[in-house]
Amino acid sequence: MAQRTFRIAFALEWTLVLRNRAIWAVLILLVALAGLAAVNGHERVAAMRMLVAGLNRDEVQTQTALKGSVARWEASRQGEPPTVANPGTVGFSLLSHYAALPPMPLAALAVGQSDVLPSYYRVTANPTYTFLAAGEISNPLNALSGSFDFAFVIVFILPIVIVAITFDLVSREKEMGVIGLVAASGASLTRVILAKAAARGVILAAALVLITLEALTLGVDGPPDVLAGLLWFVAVTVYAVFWFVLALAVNSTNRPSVTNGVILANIWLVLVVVTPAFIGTAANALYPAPSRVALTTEMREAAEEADKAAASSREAYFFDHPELAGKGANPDGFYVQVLATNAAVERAVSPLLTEFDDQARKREGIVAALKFLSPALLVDNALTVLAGTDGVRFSGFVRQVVEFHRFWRQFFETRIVDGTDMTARSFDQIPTFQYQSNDNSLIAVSLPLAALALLASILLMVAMRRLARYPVV
Amino acid sequence: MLQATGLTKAYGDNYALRDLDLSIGAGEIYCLLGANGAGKTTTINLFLNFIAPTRGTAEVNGLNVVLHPLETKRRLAYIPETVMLYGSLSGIENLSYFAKLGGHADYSDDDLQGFLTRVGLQEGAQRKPVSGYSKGMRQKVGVAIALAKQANALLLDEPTSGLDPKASNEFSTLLKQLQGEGAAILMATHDLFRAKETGTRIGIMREGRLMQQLSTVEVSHADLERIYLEHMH
Repeated sequence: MAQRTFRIAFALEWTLVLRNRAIWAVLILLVALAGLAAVNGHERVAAMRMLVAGLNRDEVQTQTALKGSVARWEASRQGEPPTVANPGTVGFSLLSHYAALPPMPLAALAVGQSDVLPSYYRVTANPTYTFLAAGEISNPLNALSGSFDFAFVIVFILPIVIVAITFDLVSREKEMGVIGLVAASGASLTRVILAKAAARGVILAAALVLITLEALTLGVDGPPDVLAGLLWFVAVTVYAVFWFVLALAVNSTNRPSVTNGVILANIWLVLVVVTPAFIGTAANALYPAPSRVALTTEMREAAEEADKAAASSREAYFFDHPELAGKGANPDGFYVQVLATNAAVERAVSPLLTEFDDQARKREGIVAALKFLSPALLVDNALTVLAGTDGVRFSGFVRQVVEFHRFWRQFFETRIVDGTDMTARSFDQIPTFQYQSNDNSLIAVSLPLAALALLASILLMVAMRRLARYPVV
Repeated sequence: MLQATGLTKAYGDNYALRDLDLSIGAGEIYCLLGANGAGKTTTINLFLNFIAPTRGTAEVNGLNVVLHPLETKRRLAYIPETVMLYGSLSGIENLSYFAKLGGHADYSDDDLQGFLTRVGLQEGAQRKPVSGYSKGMRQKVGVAIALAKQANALLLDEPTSGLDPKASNEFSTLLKQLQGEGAAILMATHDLFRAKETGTRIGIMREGRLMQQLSTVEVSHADLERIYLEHMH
């Protein structure tokens, strides 16, 4: 009897939904927006890939040309070595290496931090601070609101769609007056309500499968990452289930449809907009980033001081070695001085950069801890992790770039200090950056998703208890 | 078939129904008369177990409605003052759904059409969306739902309210048929004339109490009106 009631009510709700143009309009809008977001993301990642490929091509061409000049001189050994054989000239001016963070397979689906943090750096022999901006963490949802991507559709729009198709799931039956006939039929009202919820849940699930396939088809290039794709779908489903169950719980409070809608809209506002904004504001208020103006001024002053100190040292040096006076103009001597100046500036700005990093880390920490206050933040974080556009991956990338920069500098500095010219062979030995993937997305998304699933389970229990006693009059 | 014993419903200190003792047997149409707030709808809601009694019992076919909520409802048919249906479904689709919910999934399309025809819903209207139905047409579908349930007890809450005289008369005729088939019928109404014409017994309620019971064969229209008004003052 129980199964039959469920089947009958499910079939009826299915028919009612099929004839409900408003629900179809909302679902079609969701599918259209998801498709648009996926295409938008695909274009963004493709443009980024093309840009990095172009930069790498230019870099290879430059390096090949420099190596060719040196090789030609090495073949003839006539006259002075060319300028391009000078390691300082090559390392500081002529050659650079683009260290790029390769996009992950799902990168097109979530912009995450990729629109506020660089995906590549132009590494030269100059100090680290010249190409690394002191990173600032911003509220990920603020960053999201600037880009229309698939994650935006999921985090912001999907809850609205779910609310639109569920806010009156039970209350409408009561307002229509049908609930009396249903309750008097001899079938369990709770089972009828659950069957209705299940029918709408199936429609929602079908929509989720459709938009996920849409995203993977329109937004993702290259070989599929099955695990990431599955985790993505799980994250979206858990988030959708949370909103669905929340709507069911609100329905179980026996209020009019309009009140249900207003309550759910307010919850959406608090969880999706206000709480993330509050967390971002709180993080910035507690651990503000030092002034960028102060950093720039400090760097300029440090550079001037270092220049003065270097000039003074040079004068003293030439006073002691008058026979070398005038040779400071040669490139080797010049780059030795540059190295000394750079070292002095780096020492001077190091505390300020450390302070920037410390504050950024603390802000990241507070956002990571408080994200559990908002399902939207939890899911946004999970989606950006799976897309490889989260702050943690960018921080790891920066660390790798800094480490790579050390090798790059060392390569040229050793030759500058030793006075060794670049040879054609040494051009082949210039370090190249290779991003070392440290994919821990499964671990990173498991806890937030488990927390959200737990919250949804609690809400479901509350809703079930209340629906079991749902008053007919 | 329908039995109330000391049935009481109180909201705090206010009694919506107080110590109702009532027994309606097979083939009886019992009409509850009374002003708004007299306790007529409360009585019906208690029999349907839509609300829990403060004390006392309501029984259908000897089963307590609180202890056996689903079993008792399967033996009951209910027609509210305004039958509300799913507007996007046709009359026959609504009937099919409620018949299935009531445990009659075996009705053929012809059977369902037969019920609707019997209550006077024109064939042309049976497959049109209910959103275009008049109140009278919806009430007819409600009666068809009750017929299809083949229940031996009917609870009617002012079913002819708002119906034109012709539709009310057709409704009364149907009730008589059901009575003839052995159904126990409890009908709340404001309509003294209809109660006298259709009912076998009449109960006059005031402020939650059953003030007087009358047999319709023993009272004239004029006497019924006089007695009723006496209780209302």
